[in-house]
Amino acid sequence: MSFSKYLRTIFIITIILIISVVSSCKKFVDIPSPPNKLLASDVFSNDASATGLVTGIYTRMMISTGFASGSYESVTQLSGLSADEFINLFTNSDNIQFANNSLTATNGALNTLWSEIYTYIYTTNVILEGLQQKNGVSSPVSQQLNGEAKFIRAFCYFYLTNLFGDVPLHVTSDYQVNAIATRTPSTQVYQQIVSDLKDAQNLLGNDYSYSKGERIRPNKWVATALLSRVYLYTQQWDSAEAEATTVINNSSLYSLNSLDSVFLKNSNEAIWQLLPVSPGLNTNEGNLFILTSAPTLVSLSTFIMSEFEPGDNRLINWVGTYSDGINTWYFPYKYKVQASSTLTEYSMVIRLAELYLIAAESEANGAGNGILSAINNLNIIRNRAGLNPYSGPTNQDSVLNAIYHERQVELFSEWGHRWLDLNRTGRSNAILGSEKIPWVATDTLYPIPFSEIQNNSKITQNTGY
Amino acid sequence: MHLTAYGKALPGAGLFRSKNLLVMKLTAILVVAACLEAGAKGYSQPITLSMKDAPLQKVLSAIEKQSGVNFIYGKDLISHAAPVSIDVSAVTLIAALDMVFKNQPIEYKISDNYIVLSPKPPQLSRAQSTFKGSDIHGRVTDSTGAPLAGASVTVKGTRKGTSTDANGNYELKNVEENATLVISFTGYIAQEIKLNGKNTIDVALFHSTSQLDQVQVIAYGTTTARLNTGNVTTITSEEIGNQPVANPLLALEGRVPGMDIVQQTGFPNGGVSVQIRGLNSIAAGTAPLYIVDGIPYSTTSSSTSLLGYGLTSNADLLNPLNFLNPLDIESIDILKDADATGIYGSRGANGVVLITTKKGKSGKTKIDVNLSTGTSQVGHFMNLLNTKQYLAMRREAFANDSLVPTINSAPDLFSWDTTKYTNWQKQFIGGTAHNANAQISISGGNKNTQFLISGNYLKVGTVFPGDFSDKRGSANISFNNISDNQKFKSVISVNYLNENNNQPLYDPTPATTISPNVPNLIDSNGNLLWPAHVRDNPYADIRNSYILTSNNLISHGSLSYQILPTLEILTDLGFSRTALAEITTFPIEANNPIYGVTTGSSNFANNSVQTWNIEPQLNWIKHIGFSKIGILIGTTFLQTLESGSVINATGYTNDDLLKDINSAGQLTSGGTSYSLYRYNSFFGRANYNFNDKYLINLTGRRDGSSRFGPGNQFANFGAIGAAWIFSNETFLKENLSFLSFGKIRGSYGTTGNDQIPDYGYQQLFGSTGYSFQNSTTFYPINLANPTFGWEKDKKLEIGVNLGFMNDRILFAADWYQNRSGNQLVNYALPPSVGLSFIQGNLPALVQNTGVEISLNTINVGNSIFKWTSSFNISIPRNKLISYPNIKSSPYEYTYAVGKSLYIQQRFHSLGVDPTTGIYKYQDIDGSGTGLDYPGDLQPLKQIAKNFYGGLQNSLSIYGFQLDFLFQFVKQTGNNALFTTSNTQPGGESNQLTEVLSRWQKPGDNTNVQKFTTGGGAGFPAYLAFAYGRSLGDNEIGDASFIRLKNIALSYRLPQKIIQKAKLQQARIFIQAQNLFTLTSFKGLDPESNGVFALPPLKTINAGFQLTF
Repeated sequence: MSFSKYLRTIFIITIILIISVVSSCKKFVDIPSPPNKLLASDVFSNDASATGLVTGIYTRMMISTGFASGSYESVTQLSGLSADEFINLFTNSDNIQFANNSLTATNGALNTLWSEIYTYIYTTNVILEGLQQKNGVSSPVSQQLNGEAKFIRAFCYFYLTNLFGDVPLHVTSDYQVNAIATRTPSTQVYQQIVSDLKDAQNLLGNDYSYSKGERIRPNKWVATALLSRVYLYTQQWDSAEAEATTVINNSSLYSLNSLDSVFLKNSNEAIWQLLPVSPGLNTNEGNLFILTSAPTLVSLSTFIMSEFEPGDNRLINWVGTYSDGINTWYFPYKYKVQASSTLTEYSMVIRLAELYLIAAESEANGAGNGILSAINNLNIIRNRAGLNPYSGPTNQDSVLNAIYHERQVELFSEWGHRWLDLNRTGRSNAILGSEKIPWVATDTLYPIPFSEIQNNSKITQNTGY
Repeated sequence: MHLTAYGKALPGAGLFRSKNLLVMKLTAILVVAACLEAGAKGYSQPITLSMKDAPLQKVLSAIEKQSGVNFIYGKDLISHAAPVSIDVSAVTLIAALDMVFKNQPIEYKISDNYIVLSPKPPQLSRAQSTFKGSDIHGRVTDSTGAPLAGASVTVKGTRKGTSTDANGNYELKNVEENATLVISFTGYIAQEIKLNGKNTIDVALFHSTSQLDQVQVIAYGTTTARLNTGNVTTITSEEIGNQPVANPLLALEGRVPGMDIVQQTGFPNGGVSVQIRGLNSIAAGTAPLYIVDGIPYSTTSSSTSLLGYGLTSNADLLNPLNFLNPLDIESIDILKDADATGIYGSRGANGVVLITTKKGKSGKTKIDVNLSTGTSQVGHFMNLLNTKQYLAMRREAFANDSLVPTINSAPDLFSWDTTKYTNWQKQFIGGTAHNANAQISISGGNKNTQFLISGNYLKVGTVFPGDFSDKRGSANISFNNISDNQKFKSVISVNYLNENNNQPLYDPTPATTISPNVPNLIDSNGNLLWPAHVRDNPYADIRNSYILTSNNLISHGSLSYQILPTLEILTDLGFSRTALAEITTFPIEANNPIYGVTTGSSNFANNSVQTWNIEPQLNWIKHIGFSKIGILIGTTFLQTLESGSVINATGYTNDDLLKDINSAGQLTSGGTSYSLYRYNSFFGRANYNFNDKYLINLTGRRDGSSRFGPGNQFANFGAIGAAWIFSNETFLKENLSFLSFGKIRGSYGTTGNDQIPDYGYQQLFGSTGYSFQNSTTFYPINLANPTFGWEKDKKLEIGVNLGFMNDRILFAADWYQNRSGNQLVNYALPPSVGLSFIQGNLPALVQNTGVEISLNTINVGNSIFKWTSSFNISIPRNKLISYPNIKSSPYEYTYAVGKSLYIQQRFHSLGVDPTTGIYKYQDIDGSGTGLDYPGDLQPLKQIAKNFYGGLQNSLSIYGFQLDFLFQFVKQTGNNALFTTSNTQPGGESNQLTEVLSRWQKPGDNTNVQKFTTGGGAGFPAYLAFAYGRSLGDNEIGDASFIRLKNIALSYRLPQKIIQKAKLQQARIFIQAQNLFTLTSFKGLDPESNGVFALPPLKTINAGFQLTF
C-alpha cells in the first residue's frame, strides 16, 4: 500500500524530529514574554514607553469610575455625599452608606477608592525605581518623569490621609515590604508629601511645553499649588500664603476666567486638568451630573442650594435645573457637556480660584498682610461671581467663616472640597451633626477597607468602625 | 576404532536459526547409539589441544586419543557443526568438552566410557520436553472475523502459553495431544478448547456481556474493570445518547461516583462546574484534565470568553465541552485515583476525563439516522406574593418604619395600578424552548480500513421572550488503517463543531421578582414601554444581546509500527483549535428615552485557543507463561496558545447594524489577550500481571511547565497500584462458589497541579488601551514572584470489587484520601501594595477523603425480559488539615484549620428577636460595639454536599426499553429567602410567600424578620437583612433534592418489519431530562442554588433512529 508507505516515511521523520527536539526540552518550557506585554526592562528602555507609564496614570484616572474620574465612585461624588452637597438617588447600598455616613469597611466603592489610589502610588514607586536603575531614558525626560511621579505620589497621599487618617506609607514598590507595613501617622505622611512636592517643584518644568501646551501634565506650578494647599491643611499659614501667591503672581500663565469658561479645556484658570480619554465623552462630571431626566444617581442638596447669596452668578452659571413637572432637581452645571465626541472640556483638578481662597485663609490666619489682604483675595472671587465685596465684620472668625462659605459655593461638587474643608476646620460635627442623621464624630474619617486589614494583620481600623 | 552411527539423520547447523528450531520435531531429536567398542584411558587424563578452525570431527578424534573415551553421534550432527578453535593445556576432559561444544548446537552426555552427542533441544521445550507433544497453531478473531492481536493462548494446567500476533495468529510448541487450550482476551469471554489431537485451532471470541469485561479506556491504553488496578468509571455512548443534553458532561450527572457535576444555568452553552473527589486546591484550578482521543483539551475556559459576561454572568464559565457533540462520543472514562491518573502526572490532581469519539467498524457500510425534537421549560416556579399580599407587605413595611409612603418612595402604592397582577416569572422565563436534533452517520470498512463520517445539526431555543437560539452544526470524521502486514497502523480523526448562539446578554431570571403590579413594560407589538417610576425595564435588558460564534476543531492522528512482535513504537499527534467570535450589542432602543441616548454600542471579541501536542511512545508487551509484562515509555510536548482581542464600538445610529463593526461611529480597543503555555514531560509505566491474579502497575513522570519560573519548571511524580483478584485463587474458587469475582485494589501516588495563569513569575506591563496625546500608555499588571512551584497532591486509595452469582451482582467500594500541599494560590495582598494578588505557594495542606460505593445488579435477565439496576453513592469529606499561621494570612476569615474548605465564616444567626422583630446575630468578640466584621465571624456552617449519587434502572422487554435515573444530593446551599429577591422583605420587589410568616408584633416567634423599607427607623432591620444576605449564616439552608434526572423509553421495531423496509434497525424513543424534583428548597432550583439564575430546564424529546 503506497499510502501506507508514505505515512510510514512521515512517521519515521517525525520520530527523528522529536528525538532532536527532546535534547532541548529544558528550553521548550522557557517561554518568551508575551507580545502584548512589556517587561520592566522594556518599559524603561526608551523615553516613549517610560513616559507612557506616567501618562498611563492620568489615563487610568479618567477611564476608571473611581478616585480622580469625577464619575460615580470618585472622591468628587463620594465625599460630596459624605458631606452635604448631594442627595443620593442611587439605590446601590455602597452609595447609601456614603450618603448616610454609615460606612462599613466592606463598602465596595470605598475599597475601590483605596485600592485605586494605591495602584497609582505603586506605579509611581515603580517609575522612581526604574529611573534610578540603568535605563534608556534621556536625562531631561527622566527629570520630568521623576518630578511627575513624585507629584502624583504626593497628590495621592494627600487624599489618602485626608480621607482615612493614618495610612500605610509606601515609598518602595517591594510588595514584601509593603504587605506588612503598619499605618504611618498622618504627620509623617504629610512630611513625605511636602518632601515629594518640593522635589517636584525642582524637577518639573516651568510651562506646559512637554504636554504640547495643554494643561494636562503637572509642571512646577501644579506642584506649587498643591504644596500651598498642603501647607493650608497643615496650618502652616506663611508657607501656604507664600506658595499660593507665587502661583497667583504668575499672571502670564494663570488668570481667572469668566464663570462660563472656567471649565473649558486649557482655560487660563486651569492649573492642572485631566484629559478625557473615553471616546464620545467629555468629562465624567458632565456625564454624571447633568440632568435630562429625573436623577437616578445624585442631585444637589437643599443645603448647598440655600447657601448661594442672592445675585450669585454661580447659581445661574454653575447650577442647572431639571423638572419633570412635579419635582424639580438641581445639579452641578460647571461642566456643560454631558457627552460629545468633540472635546471642549477637561476635568479640572486644581484651579486658580482655590489659590486665591488659600491665600485669603492663610492671611486671615495671620500670614502675609493679614485680614485686609485676606478680604481682598476673597473679594476677587466674589467679584467674579457678580457679588458685592465682603461687607461683614473684619474680625478673624467672621472673615474665616466668609472664606469657608466662599469655598463652599465656589468649589462645590469639585473634588470633595466641602468634605475635606469641614473636617480640617473641625466644623463637621457642628454642621453635619445637625444636617445628617445619624452622625457620629468618628464619621469624619472613612474606615480602612476590610480587604486591607484582612490581608495585612498589622493594619488597625479607625475608631468607630 | 570404529564409530558407528545409526538412526535418523539429525538436523544440524541450522539449529540456531529460530525458524528451523521451531520446525524441528522433538520426536526426531534423540538417537541413542550403542557403542560397540570401548577403550578406556579414564576421565582423569589431562587433555591438551591447540587447534584453529579445525573440523569438529578432527577435534573429537584428538580427544579420543588423549582420553581414551569414545564419542557416539549421528553423521549429520557432526558434518553441520561449526569449526573449532581451541587452545588448552592439561585440562580435565569435562573442561575440554565444555569448551569444544560451547558454541555448537550439540550437547554431550557421558555414560561410562562413551560420550553421547545429541543436538541441543530448543529452549522453550527443554523444561517439559516430552515425546508425546505436538505443535499447535491457529488464529484468534472476534465474532466478526477481525483478528485479535495480543490475545492470550495458554495450555490449561501448565505454564505454557503465548499471545497472538497482529494477525491474530499464534503457535504453541510441544503440546500434549489431549491438552486443553485457554484462549482469552480483554473484554471477551474466554474459551477453553480440548485439542483432541488437532493441530490447528482457530477460535472466535465473543464480547463479554459482564460489566467487568467492558473495555475501559485508560491512560495510553485500555483495560477492563476486571483487570484494572486503578479506579475508572466508564460511561458508554448508549447512556449518553439516552439524554437530550447538549453538553456531554451533563450526561454524567448522577452516574459517576466521586464526580460532582453542577449545571449552573439553563442557558444553552452555560457553565457546568465539575469536581472530581472534592476541592483539592484552595485557589488553583480544580477542573479535571479532559483528554479527547488522547489529546488534552483546553478547559481554561475563562480564557476562552473575552467578553466574560452574558452567558457567563452567573455561571462563571462557558464550558468548552459544549463544543463537542455528545452523539459523537463512544465513551467517557473518568479516572480518579493515583494509579489511573499518575501517568498524567502534573495535571491529574483533579482527576482525568477521557473522551473517546466514535470510530468506524469493519463490515457492511451502515447509515445511521437519528432525528429528535422536543421542548424545554423551567421545571418549577417559585411561589411569590400576589398583588394584594405584596401591597399589604409594602404598607406594613412603611408602618413598621414609621414612614409615610410617597409617590417617589412607593410608586407601587401610588403610581401603579394596585389591582394589576403580572406573573413576571411567566413573562421572563416562562416560555417554551423548542429543540431539534438531527444526526446522520455513515460507517463501514474492510479489515484494513474502517471509516466513520457523521454530521449533526442541533437547534435549541430559549424560554425567554424574544428570538433567541443556539444552533450547532458538527461533523466527525474518523479513518483507521492497518497495513497488510498488520504492522503499521494509523488512526486519523477530525471533529468539527460550529455554533451560533444568540442569547440575551443578561439572564432575565432576577427580573422575575419585580413588583407584581409594575405596569406593562411592552406593548402588544413588543415595543418597549417606560411607565413612570420604572427605572429599568427588564425587557430592555433582554434586547441587549450576546452572540457567540464558535468554531471548534479537534484533530488527532495516531501512527504506530510494530517493530517486534513485542514492541510497538507509536506517536500521538494532536491539534485542536477553538475560535470564538463574540458580540455583545446595546441597542439604542434598550435605553430609557429619558436618558436621551441616541447611539448604540457593541463589543466585538475574537479569540482562539490553539493546542498541539506530540507524544511519541514505545510500548513493550511480553507474555511469559502466566506472566504478562508491559512497559511503556514516552514523552509529551504540548503547546497551548491563546490570543484574542476586544474592540469596543460606539456611536451606532441604527440598531439593525449593531453587528457590523464598520457601521460604528467610533472604535476603540478593548484590550488584547495572549498567553503561551508549554508543557513537556517524560513518562513511563510498567505493569505486571501474573495469571490475572496479581497485578501491579508502576507509573512515573517528570513534568515541566512554562507556568513556573526558571528553576521551578520541572517536578517528578509517580504512583503505584496493585490488585489481587482473589477469586482466581483455586482455594477460594472451590470454597466460595457464590463469589464469582473478588478483587482488592490499592494505589498510592503523587500528582500535581499547574492550573494557574501563565507568566505569573514575571513583572509585566500592559497597554491601558487608551492613548494620551496620541501616545500609548501603560500600566503595571503583574507583580513578579519567581519562586513558586508545583502544587503536589498525594493520593491514596483502597478498593474492593465483588461479583456474586456469576457477576449478576457487582459491588464496588472505594475509600480514598487525597492530600494536596504546597498549595498554589493567587495570594491576596493588601490592596495598598498596588496590585491585589501575587502568584505563590501556600504552606497549607488540604485533605479530601471519601467513600464511594456502587452496586450493579441484573435483577431479571432472561431472553425476553431484562431488568438491571445500578446504584452509586459518594460520601465526600473535605478538611483543611494545616495552615501554619493562618491568623496572619489573607485567609484568616475565609478558612479555618480543621474545617472544610467549603466552610463559610459568617455571623451566627440567633433567629428573629421576638422583641424587636429583626434578625439577631451572635456577638462573640465582646467588643461591645455590636456586630463586628470580621471579629464576629464564626466558621460554623458550610455550603457543601454531604453525599450524592444516583439510581439507574433499565428494563427491556421485547423491543421496549425503559431507562430512568434518579439523582440524589444531600447538601446545604443558599437560603432562597435571601437570594431570590432584589430587596429585603418589605422593599420594592416581590418575595417568596414564605415571608408571610414574618414577625408582626412583640412575642412572635418566626424565622422571617419584620417587613421594612430599609429607610427611616427601618435601617437596623435593613442592615440585619443585608447581613443575612452576605454575611449571616441564616442565609445557608438545606438544598437537598432527589431528581428524576433522565428517563428514556424506546421501542425497537420487530425484525420482520425492519427487513421488509430493508433496514438493519429502527427505533423510536422518548427522552426526558429533569422531569421532576423533590426538594424543600424554596427557590427555582436546588442544583444551581448558589446563584439566582435560570435553572436547568426540563426537557422532553421524541425521535427515531434508523440504520440502513
